[in-house]
Amino acid sequence: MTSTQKSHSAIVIGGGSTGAAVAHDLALRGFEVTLVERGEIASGTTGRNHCLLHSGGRYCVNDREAGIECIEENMILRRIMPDCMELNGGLFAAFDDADMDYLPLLIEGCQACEIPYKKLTGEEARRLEPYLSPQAKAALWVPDGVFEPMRMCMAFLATAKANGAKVYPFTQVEELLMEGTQVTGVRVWNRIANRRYNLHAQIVISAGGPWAEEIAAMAGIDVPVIVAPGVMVSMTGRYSQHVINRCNKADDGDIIVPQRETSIIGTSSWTVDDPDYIDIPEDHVALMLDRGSQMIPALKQASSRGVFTVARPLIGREGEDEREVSRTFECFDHDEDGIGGFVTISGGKTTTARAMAEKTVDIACRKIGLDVPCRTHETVLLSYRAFYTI
Amino acid sequence: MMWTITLKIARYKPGEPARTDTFQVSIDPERTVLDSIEKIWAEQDRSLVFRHACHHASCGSCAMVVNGVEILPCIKLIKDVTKPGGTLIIEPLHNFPVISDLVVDMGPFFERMQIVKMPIVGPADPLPNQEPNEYNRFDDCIECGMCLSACPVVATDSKYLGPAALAAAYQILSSGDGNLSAQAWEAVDGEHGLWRCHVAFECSAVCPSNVDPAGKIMALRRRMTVERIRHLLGLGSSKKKREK
Amino acid sequence: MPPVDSTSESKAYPGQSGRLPRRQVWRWFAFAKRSLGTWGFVLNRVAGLGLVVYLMLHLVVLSLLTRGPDGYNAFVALAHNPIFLLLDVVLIAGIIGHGLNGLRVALIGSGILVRWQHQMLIVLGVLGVVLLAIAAFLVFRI
Ligand SMILES: Cc1cc2nc3c(=O)[nH]c(=O)nc-3n(C[C@H](O)[C@H](O)[C@H](O)COP(=O)(O)OP(=O)(O)OC[C@H]3O[C@@H](n4cnc5c(N)ncnc54)[C@H](O)[C@@H]3O)c2cc1C
Ligand code: SF4
Repeated sequence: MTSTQKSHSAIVIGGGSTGAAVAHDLALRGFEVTLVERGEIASGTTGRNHCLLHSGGRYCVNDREAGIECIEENMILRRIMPDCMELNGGLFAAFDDADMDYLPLLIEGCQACEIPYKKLTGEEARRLEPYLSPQAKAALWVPDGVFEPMRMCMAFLATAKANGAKVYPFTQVEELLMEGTQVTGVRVWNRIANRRYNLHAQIVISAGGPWAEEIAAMAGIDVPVIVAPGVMVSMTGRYSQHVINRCNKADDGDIIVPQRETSIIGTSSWTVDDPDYIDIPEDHVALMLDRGSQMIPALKQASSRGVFTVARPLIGREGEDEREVSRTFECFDHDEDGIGGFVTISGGKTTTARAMAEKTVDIACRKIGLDVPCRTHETVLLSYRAFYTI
Repeated sequence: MMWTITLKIARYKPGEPARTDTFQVSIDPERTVLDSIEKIWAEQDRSLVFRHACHHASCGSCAMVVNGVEILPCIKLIKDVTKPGGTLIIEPLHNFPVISDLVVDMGPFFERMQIVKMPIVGPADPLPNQEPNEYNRFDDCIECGMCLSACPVVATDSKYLGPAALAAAYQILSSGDGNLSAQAWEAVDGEHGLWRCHVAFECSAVCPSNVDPAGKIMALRRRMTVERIRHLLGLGSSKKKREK
Repeated sequence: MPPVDSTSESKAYPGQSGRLPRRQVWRWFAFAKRSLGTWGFVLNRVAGLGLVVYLMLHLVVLSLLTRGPDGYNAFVALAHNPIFLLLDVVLIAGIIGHGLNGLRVALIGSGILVRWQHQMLIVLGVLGVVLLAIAAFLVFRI
């Protein structure tokens, strides 16, 4: 289909995992798509995350909805982008009595969310992962995986481009163009050429992650986003093949993600006002090392390769405890705020980006009376390299 | 503790002459060169463009030239490249066309990687004392392009296939039943292929990910030389036949 | 193979085409911050170019012979001048450097001793200096 034949058009703001998946879904359903991202693709939250393809184990006890979303999407992503993930599974390892008490809850959660699991003794777990602390008493195997967020976005966008989408990095939305109460486009600042111009479309979808609040405010709408960063420490050396999780309720430094020749310990959580540049609290780094080496003692001797931080977009009100806020996503059709042609999608995870996109594009279709089914769950994506070559 | 350092950043916008801008930034020396650039963007100049994503040497996008050498600024700490009050000279990668400021066009680089089809995920060796199993992991090469920027041959033969793709070709050939397509062979063994390398070893010096492309190019040459000699002597080519 | 510095429209940044980097022969010599391997590379380029120039001159000088003995004798007298002898030493340095490093490059290029390329450069460098010293001594004694 060439772009002249397309009768529906959409602009996507934000080139993180959410925006990339939305652009792909829109293009597949026949929209004329323009994606604008103020920085490089994945330069926001997505690029800097913990790279964990969640099985849902982390959420299944407290947040079943998020747990179910994760396992469903985990299984789909394996199918549609098989060539850019480390798929070695994950272990929830129990080291003390409190962890052992949590284990039955975890198993119950996995059953409720239909997450495949396998119970291992401490000895079996150490045979699988010899660097695991000798304190390990038991472990639960789950289908965790490891991805590379930037390459993941590139794969979505390469496929979107093959289906006619236009993707503009370094293009920042400065203003939402309105006709009365209808959003009709965006005014952008192209930072490459240092030029400003307008783009128009029937629907504007904001996938601005932690910046979603700022973007919605351009239309005078309030979207409640808590900006909750986390610290990750990347250690030199690979000390496990599985993702190592602490078998307890989510806490600081309780996940070690092996990636390539590094082990990434994460993460923590606090709140900030401005997600553009985040100072790293020194004590968080020490905490990561301390908590991480409780699970894999060899990390104590390893050297740190890099420390980084980035902000989660959590949907909720300021003042709520950010660890308790649901990690699922929310899609806002701003018709409800009296503004037409504008949708915001925020929250969620990179693991669930495809599902977030499906729901968002369903809403976009409904708004313009289009009835096309979603096909992203069965469409195998192109290689991320195609992003640079088509 | 905070240090105040000076960054001289190469600037270029299409249609304008290239220039150098000087910024001062106050930053914790334990943070990275990339953090200092991001801080300048956030606090001083929003028109500055640079590529970055993972901040832990995995995506390969932030590669640039700092004080004359290619580095991955996301894993280079300020304290390791300068001193309090010091100056950093920041330029985009060499040998690539500059799109804007520190952003270069990686398209031709990825075309090379696509021609040899380097698999980004391959088998992982078992860890010490680990039961062997079919584990996998991302390849060492993060496709950052630093080796092409540092290579003196690329500087004057822009069609050279380059270190990363040649290293990948070697990797493919020496893995289990790996083979190269006819198109890949043509690129690897052709006029701008592995025989162009003039052993400056700069690629291996700058590679942030222990790929040692130069070592791999030489190993590939040995392999090809042995094959040629066998061929000349009528011994037929060794195990791996060319797919034509 | 598409040139690395292709300036056709960028696929990743639609509507943009990059600025061609300046012609970069000089970058052969931008070795100040580079590793030892690049110093070897530069040495070979410089010595190689120098030897080419020398060969040209050499041919010019030899062609003096065709113009009879006078011109040639005058040249030989000039050649005993110490400055000229110094140039001879430079020439020998070029030959030794290019030759020894050429040996290294040929070895490495055939996949031999690749891991020792660094050490080889140092050892050959020392050897080269010793040879050069002997050669200089002989040149100036004549
Ligand atoms: C510390 C941490 C660890 C995490 N670990 C994991 C994990 O292991 N696994 C997992 O699945 N998820 C993880 N997540 C969650 C996940 O990273 C995020 O939910 C997800 O990346 C959000 O993607 P997004 O596209 O919505 O937001 P973003 O990636 O932030 O994308 C929004 C984009 O919008 C752009 N933008 C902003 N304003 C404008 C504008 N005015 N004009 C144009 N563009 C604009 C930004 O530059 C940005 O790139 C983690 C999150 C954090 C904080
Ligand atoms: S070989 Fe090394 S320097 Fe070259 S692209 Fe790969 S990681 Fe970067």
